[in-house]
Amino acid sequence: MAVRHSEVLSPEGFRVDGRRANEARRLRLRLGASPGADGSAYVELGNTKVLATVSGPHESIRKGAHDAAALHVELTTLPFASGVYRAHGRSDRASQELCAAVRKSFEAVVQLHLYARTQIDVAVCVMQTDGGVRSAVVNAVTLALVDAGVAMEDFLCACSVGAVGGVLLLDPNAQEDQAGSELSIAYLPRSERISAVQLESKLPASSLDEVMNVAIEGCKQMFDIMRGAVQIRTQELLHSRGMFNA
Amino acid sequence: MASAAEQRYTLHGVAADLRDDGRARLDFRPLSLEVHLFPQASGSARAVAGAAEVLVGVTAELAAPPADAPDMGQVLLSIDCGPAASAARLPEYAAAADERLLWLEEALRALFSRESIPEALRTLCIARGTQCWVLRVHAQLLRLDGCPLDLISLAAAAALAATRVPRVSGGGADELGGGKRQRAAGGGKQDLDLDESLDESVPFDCSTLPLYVTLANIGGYAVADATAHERRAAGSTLSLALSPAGRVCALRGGGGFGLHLQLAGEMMQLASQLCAQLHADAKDAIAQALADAEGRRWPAGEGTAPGFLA
Amino acid sequence: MEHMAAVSRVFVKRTRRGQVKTHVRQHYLRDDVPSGSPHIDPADAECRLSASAPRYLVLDTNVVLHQIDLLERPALCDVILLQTVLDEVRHNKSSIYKRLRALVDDDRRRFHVFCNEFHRETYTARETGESPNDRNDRAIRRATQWYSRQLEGVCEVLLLTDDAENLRLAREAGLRAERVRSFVSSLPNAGDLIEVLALHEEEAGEAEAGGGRKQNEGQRYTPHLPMSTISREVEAGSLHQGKLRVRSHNTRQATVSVRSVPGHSEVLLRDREAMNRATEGDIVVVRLLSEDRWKDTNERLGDPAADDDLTTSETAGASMFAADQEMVAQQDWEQEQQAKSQKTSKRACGEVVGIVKRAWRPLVCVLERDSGTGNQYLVEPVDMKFPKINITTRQADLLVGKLIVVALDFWEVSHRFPTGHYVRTLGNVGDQEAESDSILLTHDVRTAEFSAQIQACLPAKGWTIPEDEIARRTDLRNKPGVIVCSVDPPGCVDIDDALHARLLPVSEGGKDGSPLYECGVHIADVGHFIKQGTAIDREAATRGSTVYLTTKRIDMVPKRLGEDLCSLHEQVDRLAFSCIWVIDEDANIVSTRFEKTVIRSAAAMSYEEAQVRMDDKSMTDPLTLNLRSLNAIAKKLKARRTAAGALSLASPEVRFVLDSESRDPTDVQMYQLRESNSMVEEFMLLANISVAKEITRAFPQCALLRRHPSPAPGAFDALNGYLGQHGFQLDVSSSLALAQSLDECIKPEDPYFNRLVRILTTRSMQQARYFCSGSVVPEEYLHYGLAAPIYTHFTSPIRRRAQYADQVVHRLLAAIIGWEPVNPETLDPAAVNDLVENLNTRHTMAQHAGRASVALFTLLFFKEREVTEDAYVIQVRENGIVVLVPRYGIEGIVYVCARNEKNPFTFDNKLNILTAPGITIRAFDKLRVLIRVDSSKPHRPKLQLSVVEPKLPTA
Repeated sequence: MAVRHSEVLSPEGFRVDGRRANEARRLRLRLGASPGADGSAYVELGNTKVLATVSGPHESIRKGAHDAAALHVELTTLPFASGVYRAHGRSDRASQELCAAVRKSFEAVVQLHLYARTQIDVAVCVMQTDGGVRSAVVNAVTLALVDAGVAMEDFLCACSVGAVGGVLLLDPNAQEDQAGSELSIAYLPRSERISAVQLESKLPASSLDEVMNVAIEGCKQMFDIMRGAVQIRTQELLHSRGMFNA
Repeated sequence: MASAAEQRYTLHGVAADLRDDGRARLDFRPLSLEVHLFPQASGSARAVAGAAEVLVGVTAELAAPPADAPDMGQVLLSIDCGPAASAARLPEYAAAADERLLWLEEALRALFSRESIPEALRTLCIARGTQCWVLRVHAQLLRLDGCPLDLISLAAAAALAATRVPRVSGGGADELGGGKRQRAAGGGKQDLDLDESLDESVPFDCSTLPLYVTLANIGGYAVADATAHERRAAGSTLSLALSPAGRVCALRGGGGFGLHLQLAGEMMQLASQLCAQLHADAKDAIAQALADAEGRRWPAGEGTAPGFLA
Repeated sequence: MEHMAAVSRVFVKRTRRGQVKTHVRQHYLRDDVPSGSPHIDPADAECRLSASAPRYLVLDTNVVLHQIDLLERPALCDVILLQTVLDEVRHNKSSIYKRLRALVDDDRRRFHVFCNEFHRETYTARETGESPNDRNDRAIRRATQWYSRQLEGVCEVLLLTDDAENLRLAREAGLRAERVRSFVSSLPNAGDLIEVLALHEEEAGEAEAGGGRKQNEGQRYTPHLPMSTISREVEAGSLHQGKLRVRSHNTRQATVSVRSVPGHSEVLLRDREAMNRATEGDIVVVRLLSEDRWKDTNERLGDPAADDDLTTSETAGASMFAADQEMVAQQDWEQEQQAKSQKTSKRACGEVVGIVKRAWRPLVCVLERDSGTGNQYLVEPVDMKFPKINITTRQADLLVGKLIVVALDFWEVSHRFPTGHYVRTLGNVGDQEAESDSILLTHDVRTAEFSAQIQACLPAKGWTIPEDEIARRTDLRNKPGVIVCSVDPPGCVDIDDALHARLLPVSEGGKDGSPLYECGVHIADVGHFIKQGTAIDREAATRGSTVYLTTKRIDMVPKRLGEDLCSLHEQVDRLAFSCIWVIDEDANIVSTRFEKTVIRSAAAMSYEEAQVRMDDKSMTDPLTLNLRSLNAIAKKLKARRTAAGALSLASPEVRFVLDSESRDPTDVQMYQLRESNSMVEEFMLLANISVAKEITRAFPQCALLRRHPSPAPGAFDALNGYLGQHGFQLDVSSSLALAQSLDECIKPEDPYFNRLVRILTTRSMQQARYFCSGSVVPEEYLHYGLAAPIYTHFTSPIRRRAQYADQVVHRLLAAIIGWEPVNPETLDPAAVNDLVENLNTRHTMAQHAGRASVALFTLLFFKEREVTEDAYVIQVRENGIVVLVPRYGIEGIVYVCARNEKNPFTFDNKLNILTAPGITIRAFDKLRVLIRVDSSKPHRPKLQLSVVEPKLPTA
């Protein structure tokens, strides 16, 4: 069901789902989506749906370095997430790779040294997949950590760009994804640094710059929405504690 | 483990028919139920009651019917814990954490067995002996409380009630209008026409699905819908799977120091009394959830349940 | 993203493994979709629709599909094309979609594409139980309504539809809607436009009632079965699906290639009734006749003056217009081989019961003047494989004697011939220009000028190689001992290959001190100018090949690229992609390397010039020595190839000598081959083989290669049958055996005999094809004719045929040497397979167009002459023979008896011999034939061959 190359962007400038090339899908967010957790966030990027929960910082049960907190990331993809039944183990390679990448990115952002001798557990549940899972996961984890009140140096925002037949498409969905190569980046919007880059399949080196720029633009779009959601959540919390009257 | 003082407090409350949260012994907590959260699944539901939360998704697959039941489809169930719920926090059905999960799975599978719901499984048969639907039901426990079996069985029933499988007809059937059809050799031997559009998708008949009700023995009293906290004060528990007609389809019990034979009899009696109300409430809740989805113009419009966005 | 709302569409599909997958397509609706009208979007500077237009037209899908010729008339402007319609057209007929897109691109026409599916107010969700067609019609009406409301009182919005239900519903909803015909009639220049209007089947009845041609009562043909029945029965194996091919020597018969009939690879349709309105290239479904109605393998040639009681004769004779004489002959030949190899004495016969897909495209036709009844006329397609067509025209007088383009519309059960409509006039019959256009159109050759966008892909005028580009490359310009030169046909302007050879100094020589040579083949580096994915690249991929007609050529890439930027001219610095070998004295390859280089050709010679230099012993300049080294190595290479079994085949092609002013042909020449031709050829083969190995090593799944399969079993039975009568036999067990047995086919008294056998051998073999390495097992990479285990095209990126393949190969090779990465598309076997498919088609079309052009010039040549020439019999049938005239490379049918007359000959269908008292005709017999142009039908002159010696008996 891959889209044919000639069809990814119509001469009128629309993609198969009605977006323009530089438009991300609708990003819908909810902080505190799982009330029992220390922090949680639910992210819908188009049709991709992800729930991240954070537990901790709490006393470390594992031995390790004492001068900083340990960050653990676990990822589950529900068997009905893709439209056909697939029993994902937690140990399948793709999940493991994604876990490791997420952990690495966040180790650089979370101020782990503030939480010595503790551990922070992040659990991600991928409920529905339709392209951009990596970006949705990173954005959800950022928000869950914010929700848990874990100190971070910056937001970590992620977005992907597909390059299909010379056309760059921001935030490709699964249908577009199969047609070309895809680059996803995790970006620190305030310090304007890139924390992680991942490229699936080949891309001409000459266009890398352009692709990165489009991806960064996408991350900034994501950031604006994420920041908005955090503000709403903060007001809610203040309100519920009677500290703020709108 | 709760402290002795806490346990005593719970016991006293139960004895006085006024529990920690103000309920009487046989009261259930309010339930929040949503269906159609995930359009990519054939059916889905999310149930929240007390501190527990469970997510269920159903995937329909084509397969050949089992050799010893050529006219029946299958409902297969799997359970997983996470992210905030871990198997270690499940009530002590078994010693090791992962065995607890297996125990749960086993208990719930009994609900969908051939003996339990033969008529419903027959509706999943497409062509006798060659082709049937297999509904894979996956329950993800997001948060836990005292009676996971009850909530999962309810959420599974809701997800199955929301499940629609595409209409298939044997090869060469006349065009019926409506959506485009695909012909393809199926998982079985026979060629089938599959209605792509889901216009004429077939709901799964789940009116006969049994539900679990768990009664906990707290200080000699039978308590319904115990919280995790209460369960720590409980002796043994008894979980009964009851069909809408009041038939017992499965029974799971034990724990604590064992169950007095007389109390066990009383609890079963009580359970079958609760059954009618339980099924009626469940039916209403499911109907309400389906109606909500209808109101959101599922699936064409933005019909998914607000779910976690609410 | 605030302006977007999302809706979802959910559906299921079977996966490849037979499972069911639920798909969800999220779809965004927006408010900022351009309407194209300055009335609605005054701020939009790029509005296509005119502010002063009295009305905008909205078209429904069927109007676009059927009336594309009308739309192409400039009279219709200010048209709103809905996305719904475009999508439907694209899925239904990509050729019309392309034409529609061309209209949209034309500023003057003011066609605006409105993306109604993405607009919040015009998006139409399918309702439960609604068919996709009904939904689309509803979406079209909804968009029309939207425009009507927006433009109320400013400008009329008119929906054109010929669908009765759509028309009714539109009018019920208060929309302005009309049928195309009634709308066109209301226009000021209606007369002209009505001509090009396609008829609908439902309309046809009305048109006829109004004084049209009187039809035979009842149904002439059997109605087709409903699609649902067809697909069921095909699956059950009781009906058979395949592509219909009209037989070239008997156009009232056709064959359908099938896979589902045991023991038969094709089904014969014996007459027009059995073809049941299917035409050349259609995908049809056939039902087999009972076996007692099957036919013997031997058959007659299409009879002259056959079943045509309606008009004058419709012969399947030797019209040189018939597009592809050689190919056509080859097809028949192959068909015959197959039929014979199947060992069954009967051919499966069947009848068409349904048409799955029409292969209809515009046809070049000639109007038959006397065929008129009222305004209805019959036109005869130039491509004889298509039946005559009914058209309606009021300007028959103007069309007589012209080549006109006609589009087919439908074919009714009660009509003898299909119905079509006039599209445009090409010019006079027999006019060189018009006839050439006709050839190009018939072969689907793109002739449009290169757009500005494509031209813009080329560097500015006065381009020279930039310094940094030189720095990246190996500079061969001043390398001692390297003298690069090119050898091509005289007057060649697009030189794409050059060569060099030098004796390596002893220090670099072989281990035992034996001399080593460095030889290089330098190919124009097109890859530098054509980057993948650019406009110029896409255009080139579509065209696939340059098409050479006798007097003109239709380029694949702009002329400037081939003739200037890339062409390896004498004494000019040029970019090249080089394949450089170290070769020992016995022509063994010691090492191979591939490099991007800069070269300056020392001399661009013709074959003749090069030959003269090599032969002139007195010349000892470095250039000549270079040539002699090359030639010496080439000879050894050739000897080795021959020993391995390379075939030397032949074609009857000829070249015209044209009058320099009128461009009329004045003489015919055979191509002359010199040693220098062979020298260049050997090195090109070597380069192609080296490159093929290299790209397959690096990209085993997606290398673009070319293969020539071994002959099909039994393919030579017929030829051997003919040869046996002359005491010869071809051994096809291997290419070496074949090459040797070909060498033995010599009649001392007839030097042409051997060449003739080679020509017929070529036709008995399969065609060479491009393919993707992943699609075939390595054992089948074989190039039979060249006796090479692997082969590709690398050496002709700007000249000759299907050069796009060469460009793809260049890209792969460039990636291997780390020069430039390739797009993932080049490495996707599925995409490569699609590409290869197109290249093979384009290659064949280009070849056929070239041959058709030769045929045209042959006809022009004989217009002024009557010539008696030697000819050879190459096929013998019951009622006639097929002869080949070597001098002019033409072939044609000579009938030994007219239809309905008694055949003076008896036919031996075992040996394929015609005998009459005192005369025997066998294959390979030499005859004298008279060649002249038959102008009995002034609108359709054709070449006529008749045997003058020996004298044939008549009945």
